[in-house]
Amino acid sequence: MKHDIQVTINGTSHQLAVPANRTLLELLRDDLRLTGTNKGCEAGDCGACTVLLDGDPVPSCLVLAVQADGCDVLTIEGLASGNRLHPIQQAFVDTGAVQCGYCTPGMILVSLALLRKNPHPDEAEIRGALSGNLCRCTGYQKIVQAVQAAAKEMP
Amino acid sequence: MVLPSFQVLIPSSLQEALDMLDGHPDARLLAGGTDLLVDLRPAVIRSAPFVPQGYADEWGIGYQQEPSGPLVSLHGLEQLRGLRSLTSHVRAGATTTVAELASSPLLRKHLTALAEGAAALGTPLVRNRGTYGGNICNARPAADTLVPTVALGGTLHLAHKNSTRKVSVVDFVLGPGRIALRAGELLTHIQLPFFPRQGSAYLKLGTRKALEIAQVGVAASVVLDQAGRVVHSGVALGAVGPTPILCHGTAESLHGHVPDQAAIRAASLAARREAAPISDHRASREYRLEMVQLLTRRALTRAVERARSAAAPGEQS
Ligand SMILES: Cc1cc2nc3c(=O)[nH]c(=O)nc-3n(C[C@H](O)[C@H](O)[C@H](O)COP(=O)(O)OP(=O)(O)OC[C@H]3O[C@@H](n4cnc5c(N)ncnc54)[C@H](O)[C@@H]3O)c2cc1C
Ligand code: FES
Ligand code: FES
Repeated sequence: MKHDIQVTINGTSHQLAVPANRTLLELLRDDLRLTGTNKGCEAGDCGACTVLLDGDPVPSCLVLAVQADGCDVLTIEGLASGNRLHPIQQAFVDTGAVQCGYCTPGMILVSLALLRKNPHPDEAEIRGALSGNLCRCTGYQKIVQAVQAAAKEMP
Repeated sequence: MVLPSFQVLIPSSLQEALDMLDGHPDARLLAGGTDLLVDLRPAVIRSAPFVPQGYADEWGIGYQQEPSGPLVSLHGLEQLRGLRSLTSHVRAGATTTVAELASSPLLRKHLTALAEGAAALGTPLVRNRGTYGGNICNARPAADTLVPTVALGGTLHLAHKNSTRKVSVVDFVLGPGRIALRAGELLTHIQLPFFPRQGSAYLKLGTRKALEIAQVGVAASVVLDQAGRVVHSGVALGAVGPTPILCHGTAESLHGHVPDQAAIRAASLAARREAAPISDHRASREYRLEMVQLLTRRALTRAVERARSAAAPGEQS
């Protein structure tokens, strides 16, 4: 049996019919082809699948699509305006915080949620906020610096 | 890997949820899904032979569960969510998220151990989805909000189609993953008493700051009288037995005493005697026993400091 749901994704409202066992991650990647949200462990451990659900960062691999009915979802595709990157994206590029890029969408969305709540976080607060997102490349230092740089840029 | 197929029922009121549970004795409740969806997913790397619920890894790793009846998802039931402060207790809805517990000024002030336990659970992402009720009902011996709830004397309110009942958290948790929830029942909220001159703390020992199942967790709560003597206390140990352990010996040893260093040392030794840890890949039995004693001393010391500073201004403590 499919369930009819309404989800707002990156500002656009979608009416969708989804099977009960479809995760939000699969809905985004496989049905809507929003492949910026990455699939890693599918067990809540890595954060590669992070999206903002009603503003809060969550592991989309552990959310059923039906549980997102009526919610607002922001994925990495919703950040740039045309060809202009969001200040956090730009800061990640400028700082060299992106290597393979697998963790990057999740890192950026968590940073966005953090800076909205706390525009001037200290280093410990940044590291704490990012602690559910694993990066196998950068050693985290550049990511922390990118968030600090973005905090200065953001209005 | 795609989740196995299952049916999801989505009630829009508590009564509808209870009717659904009544009509489907094999239904399972879905709150945040951070335990259940991980357990339902076919194991790839986490492969382990299928073992019936409650008999698997006793010390906190997920076990695989067979998809059975429908899932009843609680996400539409707003009335199960949120914290309310009443005169002498806090009422926490079962689907209140762990993140809400961690950031609640009310809990930070009156029931610090629970806020600290919530802040120590998993990662920020998991805390945004995982719920208080889910952590309790999953009944892992190391569960970071369950252990403080035991120390703080939490009472669980359970609803059934035609009735409701209350049960203390200690009587509810029977073993790893085993709880005294009857068919058709649902945990609606958790009631936590608080007192004047109360202080509490939770300490979790792990090797990392995030994404870590406790090797040992200790929650301590102390209530003082006007003369600064202990009138009530609770110490609960996590990850050192099949369920969180409420230390009766510790409470007896503190009762009626001014909790100075010597009294706290004696109480910590009593806690060590009540722990029943095993050795596993996280830590050895001997190490856990040492840590129970040490963490109990530290948690009690913090709880006592907080109880003293919670004393009304001008009052001797
Ligand atoms: C990466 C990761 C790290 C984690 N780290 C920790 C950690 O450090 N410490 C820790 O304690 N836990 C940890 N967990 C486990 C989990 O996040 C918590 O136990 C969480 O609080 C479970 O809540 P939930 O709402 O997601 O539960 P669900 O998965 O929805 O449910 C869990 C169980 O409780 C039952 N249930 C849920 N709500 C009710 C209700 N109202 N009435 C009756 N039964 C109910 C369900 O049927 C199910 O059996 C971790 C999980 C992940 C994925
Ligand atoms: S894929 Fe969701 S947390 Fe790893
Ligand atoms: S840049 Fe490769 S995982 Fe982070």
